[in-house]
Amino acid sequence: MNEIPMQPLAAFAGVAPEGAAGAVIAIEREPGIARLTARNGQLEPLDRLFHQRYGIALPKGPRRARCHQLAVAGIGPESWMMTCEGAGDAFALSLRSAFGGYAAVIDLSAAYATLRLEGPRVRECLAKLVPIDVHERTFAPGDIAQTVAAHMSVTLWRLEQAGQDPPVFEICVGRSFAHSLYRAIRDSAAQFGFEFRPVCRLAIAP
Amino acid sequence: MSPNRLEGAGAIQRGRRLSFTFDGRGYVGHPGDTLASALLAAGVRLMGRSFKYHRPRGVLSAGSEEPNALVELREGAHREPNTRATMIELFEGLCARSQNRWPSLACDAGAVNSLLAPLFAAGFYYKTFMWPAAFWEMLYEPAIRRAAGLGRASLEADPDTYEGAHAFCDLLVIGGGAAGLAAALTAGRAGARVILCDEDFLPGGRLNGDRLEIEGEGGSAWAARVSGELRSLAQVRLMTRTTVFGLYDGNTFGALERVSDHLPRPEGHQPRQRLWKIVARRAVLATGALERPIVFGGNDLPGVMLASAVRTYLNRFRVAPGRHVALFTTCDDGWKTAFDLRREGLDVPVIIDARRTAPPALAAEARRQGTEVMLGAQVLRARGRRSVERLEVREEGGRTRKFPADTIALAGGWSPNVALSTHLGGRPRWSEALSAYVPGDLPRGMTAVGAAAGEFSLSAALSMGVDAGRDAAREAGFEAHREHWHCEDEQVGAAPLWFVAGCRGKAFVDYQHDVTLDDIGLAAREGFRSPEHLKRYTTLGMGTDQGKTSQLNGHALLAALTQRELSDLGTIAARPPYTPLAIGALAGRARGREYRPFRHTPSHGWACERGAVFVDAGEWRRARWYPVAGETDWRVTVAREVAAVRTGVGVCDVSTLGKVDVQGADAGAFLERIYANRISTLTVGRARYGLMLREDGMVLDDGTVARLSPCHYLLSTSTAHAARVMQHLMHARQVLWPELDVQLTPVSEQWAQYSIAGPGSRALLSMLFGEALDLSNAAFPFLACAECSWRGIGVRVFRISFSGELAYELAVPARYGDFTMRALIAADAPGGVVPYGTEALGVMRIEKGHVAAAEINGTTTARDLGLERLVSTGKDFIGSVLAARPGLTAADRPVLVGLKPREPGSRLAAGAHLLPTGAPATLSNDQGFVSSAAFSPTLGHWIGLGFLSRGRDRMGETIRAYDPLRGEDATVEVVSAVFYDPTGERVRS
Repeated sequence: MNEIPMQPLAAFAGVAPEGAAGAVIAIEREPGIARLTARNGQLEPLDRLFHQRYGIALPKGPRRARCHQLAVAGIGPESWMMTCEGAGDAFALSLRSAFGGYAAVIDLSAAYATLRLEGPRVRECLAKLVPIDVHERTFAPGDIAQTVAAHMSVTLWRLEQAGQDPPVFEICVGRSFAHSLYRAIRDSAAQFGFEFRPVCRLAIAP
Repeated sequence: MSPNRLEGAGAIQRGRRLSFTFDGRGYVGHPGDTLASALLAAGVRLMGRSFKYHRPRGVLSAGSEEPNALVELREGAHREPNTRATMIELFEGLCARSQNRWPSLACDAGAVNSLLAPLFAAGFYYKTFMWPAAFWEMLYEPAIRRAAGLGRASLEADPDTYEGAHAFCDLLVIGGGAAGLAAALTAGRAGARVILCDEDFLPGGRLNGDRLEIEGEGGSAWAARVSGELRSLAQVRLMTRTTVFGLYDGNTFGALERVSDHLPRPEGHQPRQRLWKIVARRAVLATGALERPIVFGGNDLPGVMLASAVRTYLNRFRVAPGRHVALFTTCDDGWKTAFDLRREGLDVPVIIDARRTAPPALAAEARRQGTEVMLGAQVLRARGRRSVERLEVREEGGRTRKFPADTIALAGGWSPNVALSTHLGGRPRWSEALSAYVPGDLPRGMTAVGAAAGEFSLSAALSMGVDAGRDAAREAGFEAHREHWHCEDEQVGAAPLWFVAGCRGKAFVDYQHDVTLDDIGLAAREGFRSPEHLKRYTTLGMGTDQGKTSQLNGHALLAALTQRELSDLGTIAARPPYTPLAIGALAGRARGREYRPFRHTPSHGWACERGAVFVDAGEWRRARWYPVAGETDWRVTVAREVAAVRTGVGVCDVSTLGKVDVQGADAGAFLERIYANRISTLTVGRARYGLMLREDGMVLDDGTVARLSPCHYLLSTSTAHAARVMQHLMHARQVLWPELDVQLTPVSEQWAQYSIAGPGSRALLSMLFGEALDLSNAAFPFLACAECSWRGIGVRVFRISFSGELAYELAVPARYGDFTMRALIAADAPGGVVPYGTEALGVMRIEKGHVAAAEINGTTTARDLGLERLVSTGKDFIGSVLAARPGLTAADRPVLVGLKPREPGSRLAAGAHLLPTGAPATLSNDQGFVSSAAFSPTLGHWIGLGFLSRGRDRMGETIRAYDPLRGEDATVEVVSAVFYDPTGERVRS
């Protein structure tokens, strides 16, 4: 029995795929997520090292920058959320070995439930969900906001590709809230036609 | 079928017919009709009964200010009372009923109240129901409740759905009349983000009701064309059927969109109504003006209508409100009504203008059309049985004349619709020139235009709209073209007449609340001089229409009676909502199951499969107990779960506890200032109980601190205080000691955490972990902690116990929580691995005397909780100074004790008061209370924790636990709070 590797459960497990051709599409994502918080007085070397490694600067303020699969977003004073598509639990470990001297690096890959929201009516759906302005002129590609949706704290960002129309957003919430957020999105999108695509994972036979 | 429908198109689709019923009778109307227009077309003039006197009432207006024509719309649970017939858009199958009548609208028994009118005068409630006091509850209140209100609520749950939405714009235009359309088009063409809200389903305002021309084009056609262009602009949103009902801080407007009210039922996942919060950089108040009625005798008879409403029914709905229409006016504008009526071939026997002079051209035109013109005259009284049949007019010389007429159109002048300008405390300004209130200090970013600003001509409305639109566009960074539309200047002369002095019969000021001229006179005689007092004493303007058509007339009368100018009298404050709002719309989807979000623990799915019974713990849904086959009483289940932990091994999901990652060179120093107990002596690989105080010295929370590496700590908090503690830590980090090198990260959601408790827990974990971790007592003693890799995943193990047994907590990344729970339960242990819920957890912590949220309730100190030995005296920490206040250290403060019933079978309940035995149950004898109680399956009787004054000196004493709420009264013995394993051998075993 000891040999059985642990099997993860998706945050939106139990939610059935829904819809076919929705004007709002929600796709479950499972990026590796880590939080970096600069140690006191270490911002400058951290910034330099980060730039050296990824060729992008740490965003100052609520912006998100991207380098291939990896993205970094400012979510607090000298604090960033880093995500990496397709990375597993090892993501935070690799960051810690690189930046641990200059920042606290915490693995939060399992802490969030994340959905990508897209489709021609996605902005109208978001208008019912979050009290912030996601208009082209005010929420540009790469913008990120910490806000609330149906009384839940959420982080919302717009993917970086410029000129993307309709825009693509991602929203994440504390994992325990996954089902409540799902219902809020489903209800907000229902009038436009809603589609949900859960994470596909090959089941490992025990 | 529709005897009063005129030829021609208007704004209705004559090609389509809609059937509807009113009071069970079938009628036919057309798309574009309101219920009011369709009923008028069918010749129905009686639409309701008044509030107090049950007088017959017809429709007064053609808009949202309607005080009279209130009906119950729809049936069954969908029934909505007090719906204005003037605002109900006709749909196929519409079903409406009149209200406040019995047995029928035409023959209403309540009309007898009219005969008792002297009893129902102003202040009637205050005078009549004052004495005897004992009658209030028995008699008066039930009687008033029965009589109060107009419609009947359905008393069923609201079956409709509602939702909320947010919108943002550079310019919000409130009102889609000429001025509003001009503002929106100007700013919209320039590229600004514009939202235009109009409460009507057809934008245009008076352009639809009046015969006006813009650049030679009909006003309604112009409005339709502009609306079409607005709809085509990408950055403009034209929202019809949307009432902006309130202005709030931060340039936020509340607006209600009636998404589906014009449909038999909502379509395709659409809500019935949508509540918008609109944040607007600039706002244009283009709400127009409301026409005022004039107060005279019998002025509430069906057939008495506002002149502008008469024109709207004629021009927009192609309905003749009457065949012989007398006009009573005080302004040039009213004369248009007569001309519009004559154009349709309807009879206008007389125009009564209260002014001594009127523009000669108007008078000449009227006379040419064969209408008698009376200047300086006033209508004394309207007469008729159920509707107007004739009127009595007093000539300038004082002679009275009678005219037959079935309708009286009233043009008492216009009041700018300033309500939204006052919602943030602004007061309107009295304009002597206009005899009306105009917007005073406007809220920041708001501009009033057109009639709302007191400029009543069409050309002024258009040019003001253009200017406001340009200003708003410029502020948003767009340069707008100065649009110009040519139109004829109308004559807008007016002189006010609020009421007809010496009129005969009952004269109504407030139609909806049946407030008469006499009521206001009585109030004035009784010394009510302020309009606010007048309002409350007479209920003037307190109906669902908020006195839109009555307030000013009432104030003018009060001013006249108290020999003051209206400008000195002041006015009342309009408050949101501008028109009635369904409570459901405010709730949106946050009701029932969606009232608030739920949080699920990582083992939730598994617990559901297992048949767990859940309990709401704040937002969390936690497994309360896990019944097995045959268990019907939860106490049996809990007793089994407790016994399993005390004798074998149990597992409980404790992921809900708060977790905070603390790192940095100064992390230890930081925590030393946060916790009341010593942290600096904590070594790596060990955990410790920690107590946090608030700045005021009260206990904030308890939990554990684990030191994972020299500069890396992990804190746990209680479930209830997780967010509060994080806030406390952040405040300390960011505000109090920003110089410390500390990084705080909330990690509660990252980890699934399970308590594995019981004498069999070591064997279970050792079997599962194998070589991964040495769990022997020597290698991993009580309060040890470790990080290790288990099956390829980094996990954490803590040897901490809440149950009082040998116990561990195992933390795994949350996505592996489900797997871990299943692996634990499936493991081979003697007697099996038993999952236990929060109830068993609670029983065991009470047995062990551990305090929880019931004890750490924000009013208890460390000493109260029996934890003073933890509080360090050799260091400074948050709360240390104020914890030493005399009141918090007083010897007679209630302190934590254990309580045990003297009678073995008697029970204890949290909330019971602690009293000396034999003392009466009075507040002065109260010595404390029971905070937590449970039946202890381990001890076989009830046990409790509580706070008792000087409790520690009273061990063994017998006292009384008195619980009047549940009707229980028990004698209990004061004992140690630790009922189970007082020496703590088991956790160390």
